[in-house]
Amino acid sequence: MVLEKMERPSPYLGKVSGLIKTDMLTSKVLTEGLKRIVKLEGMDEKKESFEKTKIITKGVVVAISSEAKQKIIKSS
Amino acid sequence: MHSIDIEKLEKLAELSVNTGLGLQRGQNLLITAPSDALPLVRFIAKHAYKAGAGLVTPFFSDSEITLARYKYASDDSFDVAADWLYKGMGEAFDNNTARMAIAGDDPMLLSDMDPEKVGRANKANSKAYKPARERITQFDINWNIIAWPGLAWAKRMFPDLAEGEAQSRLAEAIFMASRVNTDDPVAAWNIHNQKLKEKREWLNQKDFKEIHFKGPGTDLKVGLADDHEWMGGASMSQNGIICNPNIPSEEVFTTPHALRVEGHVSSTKPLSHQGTLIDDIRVVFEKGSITEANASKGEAVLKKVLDSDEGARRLGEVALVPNSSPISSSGLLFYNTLFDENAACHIALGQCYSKCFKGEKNLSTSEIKDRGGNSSMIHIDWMIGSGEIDIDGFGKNGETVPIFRKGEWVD
Repeated sequence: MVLEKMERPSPYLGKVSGLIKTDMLTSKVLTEGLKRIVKLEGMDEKKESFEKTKIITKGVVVAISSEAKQKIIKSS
Repeated sequence: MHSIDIEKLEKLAELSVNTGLGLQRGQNLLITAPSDALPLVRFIAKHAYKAGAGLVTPFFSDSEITLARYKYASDDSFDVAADWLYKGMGEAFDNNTARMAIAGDDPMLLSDMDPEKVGRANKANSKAYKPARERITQFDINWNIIAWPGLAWAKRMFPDLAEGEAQSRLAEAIFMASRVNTDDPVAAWNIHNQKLKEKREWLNQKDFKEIHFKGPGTDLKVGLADDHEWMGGASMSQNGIICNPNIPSEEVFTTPHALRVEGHVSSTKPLSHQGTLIDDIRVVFEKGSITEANASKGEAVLKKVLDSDEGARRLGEVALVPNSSPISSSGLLFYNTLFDENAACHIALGQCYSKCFKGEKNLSTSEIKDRGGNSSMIHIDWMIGSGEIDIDGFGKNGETVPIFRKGEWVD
């Protein structure tokens, strides 16, 4: 069964927006996504401290600071 | 317009009102459609009023206006949605208004636009539409999707043909797949729905714990979720009206158990995912999760999809479609799931359908998980059926029952 584009549920979208109400699952999903992006792209010290937004997956776009990236690299 | 058979277009409209929606006398109707689908929407309104509709209200989207926003709007524009409109839609659904969606806009419209802006606009829309969307996904009302042969879509399917010819070919393919090519499409759908119902009820009565796909490159055992229910064809919405949510629809489907899938499986048709073709997919499942994945084309995209989140490597749907379905017989790739998922037996990676469980229809996330339903941000169907696939069902008492032989239902 197919839902119309505007009616396809985006389970975490509402929660991701503003990151006000995140639950454990959402946090885990976002953390895993961020880890993968950081592993793929690595760190670029020359870049500005706050980089452009990253697409974790379809419909999920987040902004990552270099500081956050560094923490993720150290923790993974 | 000259390239589309007007008589068949009107038959499609009539079918969508009577069989798709089951529109009731006095019921209002809300339609969303791409602006170039106006001829189809006019026919739908005509047949809706003939069926006794109270008020038909169409809303149109337009590709040029959408692109103008991305090209010229101020940055603030992308965090804004028409909250008032979505609130009104929600109120309409609360008051038993039926919902019709016309698919067929340009699948690649926003591919060259700034993904950050697209993401923000989608987020704003998704948030504003959420209350109304839930009324659709929970089947509070009768709803239906049919397709309009949009020009951009037609050119994607038939890039070597002139515009008019491509649109005509797509229109004929839609009419064929929707069973509008018959003398009496409503009667043809009644027969079709009856067949799907028989298969659905038989599978539910058998209550298999596992089904086994066997064919070239495939030996896959798919455990089914606890309390799973097979669905497909016409279904009754919570307002008591029987509707066919998708036209076309050839599938009978249910929720697999996220932890109980073992073996290997090969795709039998290419998967079109966000503008990339992924072909010859071969994956290995262990304890429900994909441990190896390869593709002759688009392998990097496939692996990225699998890494979307924890549930992306597990199954959220298994669907049975005979190889003789009209869409399969056409040999066409539509680049649109409404059609392509009805070409062959398929499995879907990612999120399961919460409706495919017996009893209570509004299960919580943890209740679905307890029954083995998968959770993910993605839901991507890919085809594993062919004329060479055999499927057996394994019962809870150890019995084996043939379901498909050589790609067709065993009668």
